[in-house]
Amino acid sequence: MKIDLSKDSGYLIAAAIRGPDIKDGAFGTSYQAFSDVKRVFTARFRHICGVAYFGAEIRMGANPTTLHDDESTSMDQFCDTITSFAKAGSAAEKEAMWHVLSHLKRAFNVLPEDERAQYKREITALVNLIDSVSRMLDYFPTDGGDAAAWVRAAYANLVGVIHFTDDNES
Amino acid sequence: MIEIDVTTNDGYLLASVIRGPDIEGSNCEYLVCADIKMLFTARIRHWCGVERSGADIRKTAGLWTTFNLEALVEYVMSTEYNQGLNHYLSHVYQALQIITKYGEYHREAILLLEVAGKMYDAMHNAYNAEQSLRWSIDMLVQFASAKETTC
Repeated sequence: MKIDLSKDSGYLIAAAIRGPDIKDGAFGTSYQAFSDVKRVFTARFRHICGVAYFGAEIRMGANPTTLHDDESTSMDQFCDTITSFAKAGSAAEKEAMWHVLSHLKRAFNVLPEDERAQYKREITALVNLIDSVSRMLDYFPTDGGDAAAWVRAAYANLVGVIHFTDDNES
Repeated sequence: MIEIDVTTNDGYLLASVIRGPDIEGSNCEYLVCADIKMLFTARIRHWCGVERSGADIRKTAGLWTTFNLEALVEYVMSTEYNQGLNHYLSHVYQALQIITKYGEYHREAILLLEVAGKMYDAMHNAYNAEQSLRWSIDMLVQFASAKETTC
């Protein structure tokens, strides 16, 4: 995919291509949260944009679960990780997460129609999930229960969309 | 206008550095990180033709009046191992290597590449890293001054 950086859409798409910077404390809560965000959103966004760079994490299939997980386990892990991050992440880490998510959301929304058409339902579900994670970070702990439920619902919706997409592609 | 193809290696690597660092925090590191963004991202954005309202863009080679060299050096030297900064700098380094191959900005890009490299060295406690970082930024300042004189 070609992008024109002098246009807003080109700038916004480019700004979402790089994965999150912060992954401090390998295997800690923060590391896991940023890794999940990269796997679920950035890696898929790159594939939609046609990135083929060797070494870049790219998710070619719609399903965000790993080879070792079933969907339920994957959803539990994602929701637990995001909830733990909302609880334990530092202000700077949350600011970084918000920065990444806000760029991803805007980028998904300005993809050219050709790319959007093919992944329309999945993009809507991914943006919805981004909104739910952002809400979790914004309102935790005052509205933690509600926010966690929304993340879970949004993830379930994404899985549902993936089945729909897979059924239609097969 | 610059059009890049993100399916190519060069296009992907250039696009990767258009977003500023995620290392901005709401604490005392904020101003240093904003300077790091102005130093690299804002300048590369200008070279790539970014015009978006609201995006930090640096249109001249000169460093800005509020640039705080001492705070930058202290931040980089005192950071034992900052994976966020490390990740950001690695992308900056790769993007600048591409820019050095092309166009009117290749000399300045080489100097910025040097600064990024010295910041990386400083984070990894390389020998004489602080002095090397100061020298590399001084070279950048001298380049900007000379460029303004000749214009």
